[in-house]
Amino acid sequence: MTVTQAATGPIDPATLLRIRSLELRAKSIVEGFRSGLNRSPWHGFSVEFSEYREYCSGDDLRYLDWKLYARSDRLYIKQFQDETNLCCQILLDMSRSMAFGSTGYSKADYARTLTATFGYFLMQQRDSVGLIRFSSHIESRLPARHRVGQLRRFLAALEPPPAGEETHLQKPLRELAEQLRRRGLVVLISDFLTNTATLKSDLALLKAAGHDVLVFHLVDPGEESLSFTETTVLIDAETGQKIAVDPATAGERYRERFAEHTRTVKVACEQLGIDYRYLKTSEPFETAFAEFLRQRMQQGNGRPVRRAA
Amino acid sequence: MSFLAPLYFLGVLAIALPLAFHLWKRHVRGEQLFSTLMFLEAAPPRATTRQKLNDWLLLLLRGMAVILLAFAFTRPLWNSAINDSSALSEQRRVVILVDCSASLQRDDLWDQAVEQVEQTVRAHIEAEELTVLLFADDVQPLVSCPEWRALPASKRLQFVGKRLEDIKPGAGGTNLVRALQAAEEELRTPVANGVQPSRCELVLISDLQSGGPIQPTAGWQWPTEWPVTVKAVQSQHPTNAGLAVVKTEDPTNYAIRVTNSADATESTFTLQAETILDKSALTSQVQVSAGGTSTVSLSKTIDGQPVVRVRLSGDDHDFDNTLTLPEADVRRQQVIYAGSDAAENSRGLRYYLARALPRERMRVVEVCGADDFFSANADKPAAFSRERTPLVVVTESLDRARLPALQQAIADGCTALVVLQTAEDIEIVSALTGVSGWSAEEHAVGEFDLLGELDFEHPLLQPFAGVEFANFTGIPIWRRRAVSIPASLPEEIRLQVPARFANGDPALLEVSRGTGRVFVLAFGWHPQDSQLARASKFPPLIRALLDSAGTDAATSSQPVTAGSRVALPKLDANGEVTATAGVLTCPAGTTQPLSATATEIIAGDQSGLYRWRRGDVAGSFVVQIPTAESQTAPLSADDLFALGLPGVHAEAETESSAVSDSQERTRQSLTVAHSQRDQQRTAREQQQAWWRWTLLAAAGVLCIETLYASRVRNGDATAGESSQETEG
Repeated sequence: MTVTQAATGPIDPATLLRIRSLELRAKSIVEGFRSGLNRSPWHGFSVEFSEYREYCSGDDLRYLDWKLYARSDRLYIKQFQDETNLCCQILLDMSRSMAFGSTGYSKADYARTLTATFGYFLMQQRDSVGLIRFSSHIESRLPARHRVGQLRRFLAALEPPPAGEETHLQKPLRELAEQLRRRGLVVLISDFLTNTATLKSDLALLKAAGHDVLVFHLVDPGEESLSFTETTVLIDAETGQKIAVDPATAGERYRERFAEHTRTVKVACEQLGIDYRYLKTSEPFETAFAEFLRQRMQQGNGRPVRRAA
Repeated sequence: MSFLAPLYFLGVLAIALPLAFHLWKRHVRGEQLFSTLMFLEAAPPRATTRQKLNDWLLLLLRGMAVILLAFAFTRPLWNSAINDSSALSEQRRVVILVDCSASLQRDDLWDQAVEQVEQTVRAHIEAEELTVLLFADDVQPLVSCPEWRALPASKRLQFVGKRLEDIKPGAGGTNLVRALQAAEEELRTPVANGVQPSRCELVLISDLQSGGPIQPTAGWQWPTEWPVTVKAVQSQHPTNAGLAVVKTEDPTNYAIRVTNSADATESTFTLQAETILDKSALTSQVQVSAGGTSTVSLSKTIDGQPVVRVRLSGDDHDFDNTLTLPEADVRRQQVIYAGSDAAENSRGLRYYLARALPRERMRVVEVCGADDFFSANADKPAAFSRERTPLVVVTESLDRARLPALQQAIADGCTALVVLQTAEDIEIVSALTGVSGWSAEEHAVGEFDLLGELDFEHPLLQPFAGVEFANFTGIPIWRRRAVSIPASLPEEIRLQVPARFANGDPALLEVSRGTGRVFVLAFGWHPQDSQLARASKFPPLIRALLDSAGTDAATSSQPVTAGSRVALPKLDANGEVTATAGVLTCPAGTTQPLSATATEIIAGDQSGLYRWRRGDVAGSFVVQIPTAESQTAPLSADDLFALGLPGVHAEAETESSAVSDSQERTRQSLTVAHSQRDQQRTAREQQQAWWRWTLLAAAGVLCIETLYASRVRNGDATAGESSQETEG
């Protein structure tokens, strides 16, 4: 099914989300994507020599550099680039606003599938992947590892529906900036429906900590266009506040303010050199996945490979 | 069309609910969860769109359902059907009872009464049936129903007013019970088209004075379904004293009783005796407390002159202050006894008859044997007269020679009492009545027999009508005869059976022919036959028989009341039948002609001395205001209640507690009348049952509304889905 879909084009998210298993969804996207490309963009970079490190008891003796031992009488292990595992932390917004969806599935469903796709792909690459769910605070955290069962734990951590409160980026981002010692890739998936006054400074903390940051700004099509046509009492998903809204009178103003907000987020990211992707939930997952790969490629080509340990 | 519960029309206001619902639904489609409201501002719908209504048909259906429901709850009633089917039963009948007794002569009470009558007539000028009855001792119509119907509405008031001009309160007493009974009878009389009127009303205009009989006869009560309106006329001066002569055995003095009304404020009065020569021959003071009586002894003659009149002064009203004394004359009567037993035989009938006759100062009645009577009047063919020999008692077979004289006496108005001592005596009855076919046989009585069925309405038994006197079971009868009445009687013969034995056999019969009567007693009163002669009921029975036989022939020795019949002798002083006309002089001095054939005079409305003269025969009688008329205090509430009036409506302002209490009862009676009308309307409404059809219609409209609404909703849902698909 995956091959067929890849051959004919991107899979409709609504169709894909009908697959109950999150892993299967992720696998379908990644494998389909690969089948379509026929060649992995990451092939080869892991065989390049990177650096030496001192032998520790338990290291694989196959990678012992005997020649160097002969010259210096010290035991060093050759470390190749393919062993320099990427440490990727995926920050997933699970506030209640993520539960909104006008297309038959919510933003949270979309985000979980997307997150699972990234995680599946990275684990295929033997990279470390961690998951941090947050709303107004960090709700749960799965440390980035690459070991047996990590994928299962990763997918299990994704399962709970959004049960958080309001979206507050400041507190979770500051905590993460302090806690993430190991530099790596940070993927932030959120609808950014919060006050953006401190967004730039908060993202700057992550950036300053040496992380590569990739931002996916999830937007439901209904949010963008205020799709309903009749006067409706709208209930705020996060605060429970109710107001009657006549789209005929309030729609224009809404769209202006929404565009302004989006622009603010985008500008903040660009100014910090953060990759920003405005992603509507009606878009195919492959689009976002390709964006992810593109960012990874840039990371691999343009920057020195970092040591994982 | 009318409605049983028109207030339910307020339910139509509920139409505001679907209207508001439509407006509200137009403005706010529903509640919807949204991710954030941070970019939104409250935008209430514009005012211009509030007035706009979609789904006019839906609104119309819902409004119609509400209206139909409200309409059903009002219990509609189709009036035209009522009018068509039962218009006649809606007829209104009013009886106005106007008191014209002597007490209405006080102050301006009669003027007040006339005004009340006119007001009442004016209020009921459109009534289909109206009768005005005047009452005192008796009831007389002033305006009858046919007269009322014949008059156009514009002339009715004038007609009644003109009739009232000729009416003045007379000397009559007040018999409110009889008046109410007459009014009830009038209201029960079917109207011209034979339909009983559904709405009857009585208006009683009276001074409600407490004198007069107010205890209704047993079993009678005013129908509670007919409202009674009492318009009381009241005098501002309560004190009223009256005069009456009390019977006494004293041959030289009158006993004058002075009564004072219960609400009197004065208690000292002056009595003034008047002779022909001196109008104030004797004056004395008398003290009578309010509601009390005092009897004064007054000599019949003063200075050798007979007292003709007594006047009273000191009270507020004069109408009953003059007492005219009759020109006294002792009346002598004989009871002819046709039987063989001796006067001193204590086992015979005559012995007990002589002892049972009344003994009065002004009337002397004695028993005269038939033999003595006929021998003394052998030369006078018409020796019997109703005045002198009112009663003939026949206890044995008569001499045939005397039979014609006796038959003639009966034909002239005398009364015969035939006592059947043996079964053969029944021939006397056949002879006296002139009717054959009578038969009798000795009846075998066991231990004793009793009277089982008594007609207390009959004049002979009326004295025993009271419950305490009606017990005849203490009179055993040991021997009696069973009388068989002829199968057919001539038309001029009237037969009554006032008393029967326990097995239904006649015990006492009355056979009337013209003014003459023959009583037949199927047993003797002597101890051989029964205990009657030794019972206390025997003297009243004989007296009633005498009064019945001669009451109409009573002479002027006792005062009579207005409307009484005073008999005139048929014979002149020479024993010849009167052939000349006469004249009657009233107390006011006016005269009335008296025909030669008149046998009685009806006492007039004026109190005082009436004199009559016909040929060489003259007489007089006194019409006196009944003593009870002097009791002018108003009836109490209890008295009104005793009259059986369920409710009395007093419109005239009065301080009387009776009248104030009556207002409450009137409200009750009006409530009864209204509830009756409501019941009729409810019954008709239930027959028509329009509410069921209306409810069915409402249910039908609701079904249509439901179907239409579901179709509209489905249409909206389909449109919404298609729009979502388009957006996706």
